[in-house]
Amino acid sequence: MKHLNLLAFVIFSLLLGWVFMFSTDTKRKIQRPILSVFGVVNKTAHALSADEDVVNGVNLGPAALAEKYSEEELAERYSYLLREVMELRAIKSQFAQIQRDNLKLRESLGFLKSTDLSGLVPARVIKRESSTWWNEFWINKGESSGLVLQSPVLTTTLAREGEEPRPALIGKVTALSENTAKVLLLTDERCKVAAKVDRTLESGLLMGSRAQDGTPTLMLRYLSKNTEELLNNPNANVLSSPAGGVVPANFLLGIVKDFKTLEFYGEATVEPAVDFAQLTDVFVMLPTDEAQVIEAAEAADAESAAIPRAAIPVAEPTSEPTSEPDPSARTEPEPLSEQ
Amino acid sequence: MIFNLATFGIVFVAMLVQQLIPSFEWAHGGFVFVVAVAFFCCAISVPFPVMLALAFFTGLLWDGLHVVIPPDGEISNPQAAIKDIKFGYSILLFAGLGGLMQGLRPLFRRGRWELPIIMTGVGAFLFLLIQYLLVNFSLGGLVFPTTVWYKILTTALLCMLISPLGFFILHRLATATGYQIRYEGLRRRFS
Repeated sequence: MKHLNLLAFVIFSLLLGWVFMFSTDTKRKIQRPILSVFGVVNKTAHALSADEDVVNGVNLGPAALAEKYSEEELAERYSYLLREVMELRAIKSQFAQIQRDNLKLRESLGFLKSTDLSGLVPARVIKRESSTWWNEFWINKGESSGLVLQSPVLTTTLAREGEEPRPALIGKVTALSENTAKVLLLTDERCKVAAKVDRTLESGLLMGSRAQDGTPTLMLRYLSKNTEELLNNPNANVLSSPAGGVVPANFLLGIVKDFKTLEFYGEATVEPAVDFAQLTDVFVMLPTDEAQVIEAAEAADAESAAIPRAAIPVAEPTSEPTSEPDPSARTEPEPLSEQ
Repeated sequence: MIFNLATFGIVFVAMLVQQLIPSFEWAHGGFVFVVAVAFFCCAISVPFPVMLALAFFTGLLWDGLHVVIPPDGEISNPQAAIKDIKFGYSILLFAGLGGLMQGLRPLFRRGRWELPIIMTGVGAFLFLLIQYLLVNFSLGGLVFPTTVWYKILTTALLCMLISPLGFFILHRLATATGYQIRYEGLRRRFS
């Protein structure tokens, strides 16, 4: 081996050893600017792919349309679009009623009536890859909105038909930049949440299962082996437990579908309370724990010099009327009582 | 020198492009692993010390983007802690696989692309496989469904398909920057 190659190998090994010895803070300091840069790319791509600017993936003008389609095709296209306009008019007439219902539901959740508006930050999903569909996504709110690592991410859901909507946990923030954040979903095996089964004494650890196809399921592990309570109580709600220390108690996680006894513990299959395929708007819960706030502030101070914050555009609200949650609806949810 | 620096730019651009590339349903969820293709193509074109530096750069960016860093000890339940690949493993992986590509460098410099193209696919396959095994190791238990095999295999095949384009771009860049990739060695002259 040439001397130069040997020297390069030694330097590389030393650097690698140094990286392996990085503290968590140092890793975050490295990760933050990287995420900021790539977050801008994701946001730009999201903005460029806005539906209203694109027809069939291409921005077509009248001349291009005339060149592309024959008269028959244009006539067919016209009648198709006419049908669509009719359908949209019908939907529009229903829209006002749905909007009123929606407001009532939000009221019932306490989102509008609460006096404390600092508890929840509405956010929109800006990037979700099919390869990591059940694992993670990016949202358009970050450190500047007060998010910290491990912030619980919520959405509202109906546990069962006829019940009132209630907040359900969908994941937690695992990486942050100035204006974006990466959310690790409950359906990822790495996202583990302390959970308990409603109306029983059973508690365990809820996690996703690896390499899922189709609809994801959750596994509630480390339950008692032969619990009569669970065997006699199928379809029980699974709620978050304060034992984990990160997620507040009593957020809905799912419904028990199946229970089996393993060698050392019992394991329940849990159907998620939320349709994870349809997540577009979520709420991030801001830290209420003082220690969490202090840690976030220290991290922000330490890295304020390192991040080119001015280079990152601030998230702009979109013009869609219903999908963006009302900023005035930022509240902290009232603690839920166990049912 | 300019070419060597440009390889870092190529890997960075590949990393940006990777963010915009979706996976393909028809390929069992496989995707075009542009970062791996860019890295392996560059790794075979540059000298060993530059390859190591490139591996360090690529691995650091990759881990910065993808590794979930667990929070410091505020979790009261240790079982609930987030487990993922250790930060820095990708550097080691890229360096190891880049080292394999370096073994084919004499062949590549003689203008032979067949084996480097195959090795690009093999490298992408090994990278994804080892990463998946490391994730399994850190989470405990080995889960290896058929879909994962298909996904890794189709991704490797897609990498093989686009790698000639990578080699072609690098050759053009080398010509533009005056860098010598192609070298026939000392030839015997018959007079």
